[in-house]
Amino acid sequence: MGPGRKMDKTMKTEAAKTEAAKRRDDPGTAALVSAVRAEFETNIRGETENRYSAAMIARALLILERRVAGTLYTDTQQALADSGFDDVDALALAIRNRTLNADQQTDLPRVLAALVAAQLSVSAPDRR
Amino acid sequence: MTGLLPRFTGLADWLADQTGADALTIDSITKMAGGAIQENWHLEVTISGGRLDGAGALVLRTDAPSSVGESHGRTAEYALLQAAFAAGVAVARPHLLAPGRDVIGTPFFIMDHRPGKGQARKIVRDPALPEYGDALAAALGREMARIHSIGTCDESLSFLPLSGDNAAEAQIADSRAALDALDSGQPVTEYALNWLEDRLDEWRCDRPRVLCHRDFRTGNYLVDKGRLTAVLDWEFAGWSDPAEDIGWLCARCWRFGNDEQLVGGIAGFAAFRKAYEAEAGRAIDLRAVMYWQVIAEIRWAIISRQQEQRALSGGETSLELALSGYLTAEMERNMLDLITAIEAGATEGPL
Repeated sequence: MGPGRKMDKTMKTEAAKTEAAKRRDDPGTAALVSAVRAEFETNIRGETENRYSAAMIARALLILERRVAGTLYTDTQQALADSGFDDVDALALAIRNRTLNADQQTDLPRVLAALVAAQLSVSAPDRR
Repeated sequence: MTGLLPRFTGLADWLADQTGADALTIDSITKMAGGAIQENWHLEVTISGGRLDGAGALVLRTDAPSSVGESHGRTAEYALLQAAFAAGVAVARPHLLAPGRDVIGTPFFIMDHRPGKGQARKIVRDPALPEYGDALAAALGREMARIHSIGTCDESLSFLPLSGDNAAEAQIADSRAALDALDSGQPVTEYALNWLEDRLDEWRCDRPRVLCHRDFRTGNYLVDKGRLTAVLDWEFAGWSDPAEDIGWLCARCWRFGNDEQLVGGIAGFAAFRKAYEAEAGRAIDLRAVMYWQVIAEIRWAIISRQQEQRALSGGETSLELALSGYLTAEMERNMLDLITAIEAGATEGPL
């Protein structure tokens, strides 16, 4: 694992995590993102000549909407809790170093599938 | 031509000097679509005299603002294009190289303009694709086999590194090094790499490595009226196992939604295999291809994270790059599905 990543991890304070969770749970943010996306789809996307940029913006807004309204954070935390690790960095390091115990190793494919499903819930729900 | 971008004002004189033209004018320069890593510019030129006498359309290929760690510079890519052209591969003929920054501010090379469309989604959604898909897949097989006919004894490519004892172990080591440079851990990719490492005896090739394109996929070749006209984008080429290119071309992440069409979303595998094996004079290692498909998903997953990281913490403002990270989970899903299929008893790829 690179030294930069270890340094980043030490900077993650509980306060910062709590603040981030608050932002995710703010219903006003979710409503605003949905409204922006609806406005874009209704009044802007069809009018623009730059269809590629419009498609990227539409996809970004859809992802934001799913992130704010969805359960990515809690689903990820649940999958990690099942694995016995606090975050993906620690889990990745343990896999690389082959330090998982027998139970963790057995359970690993299910844990990883759950982590992927959580991510797909915002980026490609049809692939979950 | 008047109204050229300032960076191109010295280009006509340089072209005339390099080609020995009696007269040369650039009638238009248009940036071509695509190219997150490199830029391609379409030049309409009028040339009389010299080695490009009568040429009407050329392409200038140069660096884009962003790059990917493992990609070659323009000098190396030009040498690769020359080697491929000499081996009879369908590529745009390379003409001139400007390795310095004194002409347009970045290194570039000039090559022929080849007709055809390259946008992957347009190709896989062409209503006429069922009529020519098998023939196109066969053409891809022939061209790929020609690329794989180039061996490490080709002195013009001596700059390409040949690390590790074989391509499989080198790829695992390279992938782990790339993961170490990312800001966050990637548990699914780490798991897939361990899984591949534990099964090296199943897919490691001990034959001498050959030139592989290493980005041979739909989107990196041109199709004109159903016919292959050029293989593009040689910036990732290197010595490897031929199964790497086949696994990459057939990886699900490069089928663009046409998942039933194993060869790049355009056709089934049979026509590709028959043409490849006829041109190469040897059979494809179908078992190895499955494992290289897992590697393909790993490589693209890592590149997508690198692109995301460049946008989120590297100071490059680009929505396209920022969105790249949201593709990673699809590649991770594909890795897990491939591993499940192989563990369930699949013995021949592609899957």
